[in-house]
Order: sequence, then C-alpha cells, then structure tokens
Amino acid sequence: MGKAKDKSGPLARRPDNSAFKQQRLPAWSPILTANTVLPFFYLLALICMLLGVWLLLTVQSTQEIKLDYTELGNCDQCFQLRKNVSYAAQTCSCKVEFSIDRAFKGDVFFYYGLKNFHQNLRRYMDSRDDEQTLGRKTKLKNPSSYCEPFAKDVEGVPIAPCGAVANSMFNDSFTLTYHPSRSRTIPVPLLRKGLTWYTDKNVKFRNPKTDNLTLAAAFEGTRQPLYWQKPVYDLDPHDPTNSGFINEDLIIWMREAAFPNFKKLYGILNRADASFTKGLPKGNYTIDISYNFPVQYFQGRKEVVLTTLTWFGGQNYFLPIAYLVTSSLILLMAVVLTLAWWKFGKDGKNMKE
Amino acid sequence: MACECEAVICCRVTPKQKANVVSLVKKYKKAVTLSIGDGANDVNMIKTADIGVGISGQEGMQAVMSSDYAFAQFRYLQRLLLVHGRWSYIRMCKFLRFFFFKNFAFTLVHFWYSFFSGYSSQVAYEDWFITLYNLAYSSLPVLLVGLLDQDLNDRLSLKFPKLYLPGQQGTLFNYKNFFISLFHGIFVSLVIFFIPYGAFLQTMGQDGEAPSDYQSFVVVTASSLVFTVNLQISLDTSYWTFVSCFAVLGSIAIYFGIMFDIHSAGIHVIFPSVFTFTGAASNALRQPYLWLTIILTVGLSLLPVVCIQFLHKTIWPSVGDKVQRNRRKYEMQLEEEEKKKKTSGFQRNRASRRSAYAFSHTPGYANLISTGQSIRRRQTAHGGNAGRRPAL
Repeated sequence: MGKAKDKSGPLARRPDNSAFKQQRLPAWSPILTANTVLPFFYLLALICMLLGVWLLLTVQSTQEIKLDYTELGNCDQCFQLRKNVSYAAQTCSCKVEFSIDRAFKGDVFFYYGLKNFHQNLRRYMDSRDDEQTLGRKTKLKNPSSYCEPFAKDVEGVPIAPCGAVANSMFNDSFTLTYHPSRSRTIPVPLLRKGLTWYTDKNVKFRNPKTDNLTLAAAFEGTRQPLYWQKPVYDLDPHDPTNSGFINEDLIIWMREAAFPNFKKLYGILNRADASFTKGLPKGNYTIDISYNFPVQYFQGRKEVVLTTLTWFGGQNYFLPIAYLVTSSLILLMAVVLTLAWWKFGKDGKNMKE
Repeated sequence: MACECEAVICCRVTPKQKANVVSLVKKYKKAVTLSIGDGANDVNMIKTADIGVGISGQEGMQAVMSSDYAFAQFRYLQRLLLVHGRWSYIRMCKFLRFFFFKNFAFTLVHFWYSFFSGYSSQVAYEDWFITLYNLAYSSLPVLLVGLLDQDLNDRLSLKFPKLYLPGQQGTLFNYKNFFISLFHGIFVSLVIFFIPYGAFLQTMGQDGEAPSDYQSFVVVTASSLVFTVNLQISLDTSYWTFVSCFAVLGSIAIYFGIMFDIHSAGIHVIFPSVFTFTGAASNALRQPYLWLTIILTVGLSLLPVVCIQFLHKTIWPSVGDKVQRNRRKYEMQLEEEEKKKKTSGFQRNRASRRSAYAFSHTPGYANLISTGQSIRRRQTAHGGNAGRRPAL
C-alpha cells in the first residue's frame, strides 16, 4: 500500500487547479503568416538601405591619410640599421613627406599603426601583472609569475612594469611640421594627453604611492623592462602626471588590440594654436620619425595615419556597405518569399487537409 | 501475422504471457511500447513495456506502484498520449535542438578567431562570460520552453489525432535535425565573428580613443551572442506566456547587469587579477558605432531563420502548421459541439464501470468443464429420473 491517505479527504492529494500547474497560462501563440512577414521584410530592407546610405554619407565626410613608413624614403636606412640588434642603442631618425589636397576640418587624430603584430596572442596577453600596474607595493617588488621571463632581470631585480606586453612597447616618436611655403616651417602641436579612457588613466593604472617622495624613489628597487631605453618614471620628464604607470603611451599600448593589424592613438591636433584652429590646412607636411621599433622579425609594417572623425568613427566603409548589402539581401529574400506565397499559399491553397 | 492486424485480442493469458507479448513486439518491431492495466496480474506487463500506465481503483494499487504513469480512469489514456505525450515530445526536441545550436554558435567563434590570433587559443569572450553563459545568460528561456511550450492547445490536440504522427515517426529530432542545428550554429558563429571583425578592422571610436581593442571586441561579440540566442529562442517558442517573456528579458538584463558589474571600477580594485576588464563595457557600449554593429549582427543571424521557417510553412506545411493556421475556425467548431453536448440532457449512469477484468490461473481447469467431469450426477434416490428429461 502506498502513502497513507491524507486526513482531509479523498481529494486532498489532487494537484492544484492553478493556471500554471494545469498549463493554462494566458498566452499568445504567434504564427508566421504572410500578412506579418512580408511587409516586415520589405520595411526592414527599406530601413537598412536608408541607414546604409546615411552611414555612407557620414563616412564620406571623413578624410584620412595613411603612410607606410617602414621603408619609405630615408627610413630605409633606419630599417636596415634596426635589423641588427647590436645597434639597438643607436638612435636613428628619418623624414617622411606628404601633402594634403583638402584641408582637414575639425579635430585631427594622429595614429601609429602596426601590421602583423599579434597583440592578441594568448601567452602574450597573459604576460602582465595588473596588480603591479595598479600600484600595489607588494607586487611592485614581487611581480606575478605570469610575467615570466620578463619578471626579473638577470641579476634578480624585479622589472616594473613586468611582462611581455610592457616590454614590447612601441617607442617610435613623431614630430609633425607644416610647410606653408618653401621657406617657412610651422611645427604642428599635438596633444599627447587626454588620449585614454578615464577608467584606464584613473582606475586601472596607478602609480605606487609616493608619500612625499619623488616618483623615481617610489620605484626604487626595480628596473626598467629589458627593451626600454628609459625607466618608467622618466617616460615623460616634463609632466609628473604623465610619468610612471599612468603614462598615456604606456596605457594605450597595454590596451591590447584584437587583431594583428591595428592602430593606436598617438596624439590629437592642438587647435589652440593660431595656425590650426580650424584643423590642418592644405599643403605640404613632413614627419620627423625617431625610428626605434624593429618590425622585420615578424614581417610587420609600420604606418602613420592622420584622420578626422565623425560620431560614427573614422573612415571605415565596412559597416555602411554591410548595411547596404544586407538591405539588398533582405529585399531579395522578401521577393522570393512573396513568390513562394503567391504560388503556394495564397488564399490558403496549401492549408487544405 | 499479428503485425498485419489493426488490433489483436489475447484472452485468458497469464501475466507472464502478457509480458511476453510486449517483449515480442519490442524485440521484433523495434517499437516503443505502452501497456496499461489495473490489476496485480498486469504488473509484469507494465514493467516490461517502455511506458507502463497503471490504473488506480477497483483492483488495488499494485499496478500503480510499478507504473510510470498512473491515473484513475482508462479514458484518460487518450489525454496522456495525444496531449501530454505530444507536447512532451515537441518540447524535448525544441530544447535539444536549441541547446546544440546555442553551444555551437558560442564555441565556434573561437575557431574563427584562432585564425587571427596566431592559433594561440585565445578566447573570444571574457572568461567570466564563458562561465556564466550556459548558467545564467541563455538557460532560463530554453528551460521554460522545455516545460511549458504548447504548439496547439489540448482540445485541438485531442480533436486531431493525426498530430501525434511526428512523435511516432521521430521527425522532430533525428540525425538530420542535429546537423541542421550544427550548420545553423556554424552560420551564426560566422556572423557573430566576422561582422564585428570587419567593423573593428579599421575603426576608431568617436573620440578617437582605443580603436579596435580586444576588450571592446569581446564585449561586442558577447552582447551580439546573448541577443541572438535569446531572440532565437523567442522565435522558437510557440506559446508566449508572461513567464517566457520574463525569462528572455531577464536573461538579457542579467547579462548586462553582471557585465557592467564585472567591468566596474570598484571590483577591479578589490580583485585586480581576476576582473581585468575595467571600463570595457561602459566605454565600448558608449559608441553608437558598436551598437549599429550589434544590431546588424543580430539581424543577420535571425532573418534567415525567419525566412526559412516561413518558406517551410508555405511550401511544405505540416499537419500542425495547418491546424495552427486555422486554429480559430476549429476552436469555434469545438465550442459549438460542446454547447450541443450540454443541451442533450440524457446522461448514462457512470457509476462503477469496471475498466478491466483480471484472470489469473494456470492452464488446465478448462477441460474439467468441457468433459463434464465437474457436473455431479444426481443419485437416483433423490428423484430417480432426474437425468432423463421428458421429451418436449
């Protein structure tokens, strides 16, 4: 015999007659009918097309100049020099010239770009210590094992900042000059601060507490990464709020790129200067490059990009074209569906049983 | 020969023979068998069959205790099969197909990403997203589909027994459906990876900052995936209750809630090595460009499905589709029939109908009756000519 009968009566163990337990919840059962699907597809095709056209026009209004300077002009000598590791301490500079046909109106952004540099390699991305760059004193002298083999140098002195990501920091520097006429030159001022996310500069990267010491003293007992020429507290000698771990170039470099070909922000045109309030005027320009970063080991290329931006970003044609292609595909699908419905399903032809 | 018949009646069988008949059908027809009975002699048969149904009542509770399903009247079997059995099959198949699809869509993105990350098995999502994806972001809606979904209500299911055929023929989940789920997952993973890839390739944010960085890319792919998967299950659901709406919207809300928490400044300061995505969500999702990318990705993943489903329903509608389309008409017919039933007053007395008879004895007593050995000869002292009747 099973369970004893409940005292309150023969129907006591009956399940509840609630809507949920008896599967009678109020519900909507939509079905795909031609009246809903076909107009929806046509409308969607129209919306996608309008969106695509609008985005295309927005992108057309941006202007961009790209220069691959790996071996351009006299940078070729520097390229050959950098092939040999023993000359790494030697400086090398080169000049690249370009001209602008139409003035760049508005804010102009200066990027450096790398090709074929896999910042998204797993072991590379793991090789950093976020606690150290947060300014934790315990981690400053004792970097995490993820940074190996870039955690301590040959003498056992800890490296700050440790890891392969910081070690491979991009160290070319650029100076832009404008030539309004053959004899005159005007240096183009670039803002080298205000380039990073607020959370990066103020939360993720913090210098170790100084307590009235200088920054150099706060980093005592550590050494710079092996490939660097300057220690971390000297990255910006003119500005202590841009030195140490909170240096903007370091922060931008440490924010790894998703794909092997990427661009990183180097500077923004300083429009406070009288000659450049409206942007970059048309004419000839030169860039003086201090060429340090060797790219031939990974068959990479280096480039410089100057561009204006809109709310939509820079000159990226992918999304507008994708929207236009999608809208034509949707239109095609809608036509196919209409034909199918006309032939098979109109007036419920296929619904006879 | 028995399989050629519509129905076979076996009478005066022992419990063991009942079980043998069931196992015979199971073995040689490779069919799923159901047996129903109410007495102790049916226990063997109930246990042998794939599905055993016991009827509680007049004959005691032995059959009920050894059965998979139990109810009180024989006629409820119709409801069990045509309503609950059919719903259960459809729910299970939808659940399985969707689960395979969402996991393929989720995992194969890493395969495409490996071509661009130097084959270093770098993940294309944040680690915490991977942990919580199957747990919190996509599981509740499909669970509710597996529990509550109904493609047609119970009265229509009873009215059209032909709707039961897909279950018997196994049409809703077989190798072909599995591969369709697989290819669907592959297609969606391609869209979820390559649209953000193309969008990120040359892009810059509206303020110029951090163009195409890994953490923003990861946020975009993860968001597109969550939207796609949840909207896909809502396309698959045919019975929209407020619970299922709540589950879908809740999953998306949980995803954004947890993501913003994990990417916040506060948690990074407490656990810097564990939560390294500080500021990624808030900075990435501030860009209208990335929202347009997400919308395009989700749209491209879902529209082919709508298109194909519509084509199927138009060109090759199944019985279920036809009934669904003409649902209102049939429901009105049913209501009219019910009204007629109520007005016809005479009702048979339903008291105590026996649902099954149970016999249980070994073979061998039958000949006692047939040879007449059990009939007592009356002695002549008790009325002499009792054996001889007068001829009439």
